[in-house]
Amino acid sequence: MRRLVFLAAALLLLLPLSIHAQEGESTPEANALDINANFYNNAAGWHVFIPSGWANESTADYARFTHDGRMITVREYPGLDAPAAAAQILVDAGLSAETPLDQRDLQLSNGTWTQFVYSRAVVHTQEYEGTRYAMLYAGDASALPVIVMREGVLEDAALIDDGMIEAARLITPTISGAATAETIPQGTGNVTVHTYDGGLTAIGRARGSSVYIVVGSGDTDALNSASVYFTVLNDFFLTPDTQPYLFLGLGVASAIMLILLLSLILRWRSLLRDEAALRELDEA
Amino acid sequence: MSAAVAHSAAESMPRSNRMGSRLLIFLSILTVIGVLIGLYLGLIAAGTDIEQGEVQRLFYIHVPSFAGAFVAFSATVVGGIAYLITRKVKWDALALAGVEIGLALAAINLVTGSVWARPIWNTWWNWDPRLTSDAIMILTYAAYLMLRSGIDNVDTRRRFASVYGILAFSTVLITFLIIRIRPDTIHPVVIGPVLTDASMMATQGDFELNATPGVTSAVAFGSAVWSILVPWVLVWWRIRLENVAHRVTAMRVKVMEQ
Amino acid sequence: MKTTPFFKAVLAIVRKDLQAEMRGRELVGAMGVFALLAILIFSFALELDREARNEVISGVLWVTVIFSSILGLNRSLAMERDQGNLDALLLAPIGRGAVYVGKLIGNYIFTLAISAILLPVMSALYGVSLFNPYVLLTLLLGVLGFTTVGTLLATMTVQTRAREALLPIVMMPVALPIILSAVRASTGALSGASVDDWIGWVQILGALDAIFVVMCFFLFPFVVEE
Repeated sequence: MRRLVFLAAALLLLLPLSIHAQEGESTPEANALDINANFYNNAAGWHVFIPSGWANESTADYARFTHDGRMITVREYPGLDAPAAAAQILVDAGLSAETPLDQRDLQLSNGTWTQFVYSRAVVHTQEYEGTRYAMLYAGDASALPVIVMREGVLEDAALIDDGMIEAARLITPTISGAATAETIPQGTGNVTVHTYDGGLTAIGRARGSSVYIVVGSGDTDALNSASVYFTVLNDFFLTPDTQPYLFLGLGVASAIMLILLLSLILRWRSLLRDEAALRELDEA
Repeated sequence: MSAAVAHSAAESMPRSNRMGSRLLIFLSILTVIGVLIGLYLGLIAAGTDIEQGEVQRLFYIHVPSFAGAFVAFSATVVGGIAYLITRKVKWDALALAGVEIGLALAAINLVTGSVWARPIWNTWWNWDPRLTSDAIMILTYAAYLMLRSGIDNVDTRRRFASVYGILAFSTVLITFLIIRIRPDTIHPVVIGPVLTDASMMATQGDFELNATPGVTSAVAFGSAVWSILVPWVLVWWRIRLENVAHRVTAMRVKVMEQ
Repeated sequence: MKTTPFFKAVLAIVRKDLQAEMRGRELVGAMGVFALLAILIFSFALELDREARNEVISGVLWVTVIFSSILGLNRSLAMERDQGNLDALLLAPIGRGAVYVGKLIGNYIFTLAISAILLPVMSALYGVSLFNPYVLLTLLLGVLGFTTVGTLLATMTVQTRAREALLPIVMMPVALPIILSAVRASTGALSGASVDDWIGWVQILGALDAIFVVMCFFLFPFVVEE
């Protein structure tokens, strides 16, 4: 009987060990996210998706991906306002400073971005807790990724055309309407392709309450290849500041442990006092 | 536990217990050092989680404290079975100690989880299967203490408490296993593989373990300390307390009889 | 001392319980009135439209069944103890296991009788038909699960100082997994969702029943020693 009890105790002691062994084996499986496809800036607390097929030329300070003469770069500028950060990222990327063709605010799922459209580049920038983050797409005039807000665009397809024409006017202000328009099913939704007089082409897609557009003088393939910038923009992730909750959790956990220890000590003290009193009584 | 109390307790104990006292004090010091190293590894050495920020570090207490509670509640089952077979009081003391220590560790597990959920799930609490079964588990062991206090006869109390302690362990096992029975839980799976697609995992606050350096060693070290040293040292102290209580009761009876 | 064969002893205890009930109707009477009051209070408290009723009716059913079952368990074991029957049963040459199974079957039958009254009454009052084969199956399994735990724990609590007050406190948390899966299974069955979506709960219920029956059967002898 005694042996049986010891066996049971030994088995129970082994249980947590088997748990840890199991955990060690399964961690890679449980982690289905492909973390190699992301650039992490651990010090500044943000990460972005690395588009497949693009060369990763990032340093510790900034992310830079290049492909076929195009470049996407992401970095942070503490203390700068939106126009200053946009001008600075142009210079830092080796482009000449210029006046933006357009500046507007966008509500995306990962924050409020300010969009600057230049003749050969597009900059998106947002501020979070005192630091400004900027993302640049630089290429030639053949393809520029631009976002236009259109509330209710998922229900009303006409808003896509409307948004795309607005984006095309940023480059050629005289455009009045699309020369040809075509809708092609692609993936989970439709992609609209417009051509305009003067050799401009645009592809557009609705997402949330915005229209994502690539517009330029290139062909559809060039436009499609530039649209990968939107993936990078949407996957930009800022680590939230959750430190107060860490301290709260640590505080409550230590409080519980302290209450347990205090209760043990107090009960022990009172028992020893009782014992001393009883011993006196016993001797008397 | 203060050294002064330990010392005076050791003094009033028979010689055979001196060795045990020394070992216990040594183990207590080892536990404190182990917990501090674990906290250092989790709070300072490990990198910040890129998706969740600093609050993810609660994970280094949350997981180990459940392991500790599991071990303590297991001690209750062992104590209960052994008491029912042998009727030796020391086994009941082990069972009671297991419940008290297990409750404290389970409470730590629950509150750290709740505080973590506030920024990550945007709520302190939800009726997710695993959270629900964890709360049930804590209530069950609270009921164990109520049952004990409701019985005057010491033998009956020990007998009933042993039976209930064995029965109550079913809630611990359910809490542990529910993640496999009910895959719709949004609680991140820490132990064992689970099939979810990447986008779901990102929204549910899964841990990007590989992206953050030092996580594996911090979790492994913390769990080892919290599942071996912490519960056993605390349980041992609690048994010591129970022994003193028995001695005082015996003395009280003796004094009364005079 | 020669012990009576197991099944004969179980049958004798069940027959004794049923006969006592036929004569006095103390248990089913109290449980039934309580259950009817409970569903009336629920229907006043939750003034529901038709759709909301469909969602909460299985919850109402289970809460009512559980509380009337706790009432019955307390009464049943308290009667045994007050009249000295339990001591007499334990002195009789029958196994402790047989005493447990006998009491369990008795309590099971009484709680099922209450459920049998509740089903038509609730179907009429809430305008939702509860006569669904899966709801009946869930009732059979769920009631078995918590009367198993309840019979063991009620035998313990009637011997304590707090008596009636203690049973719900010690029984509810242990029985909650059974209740939860029973509620989920019957809600699933009534919602008209496909069987695959909720049949898992019925399987969990069956597994829990098996675990608790075995555990309680072996633990019962320890709670009736004198």
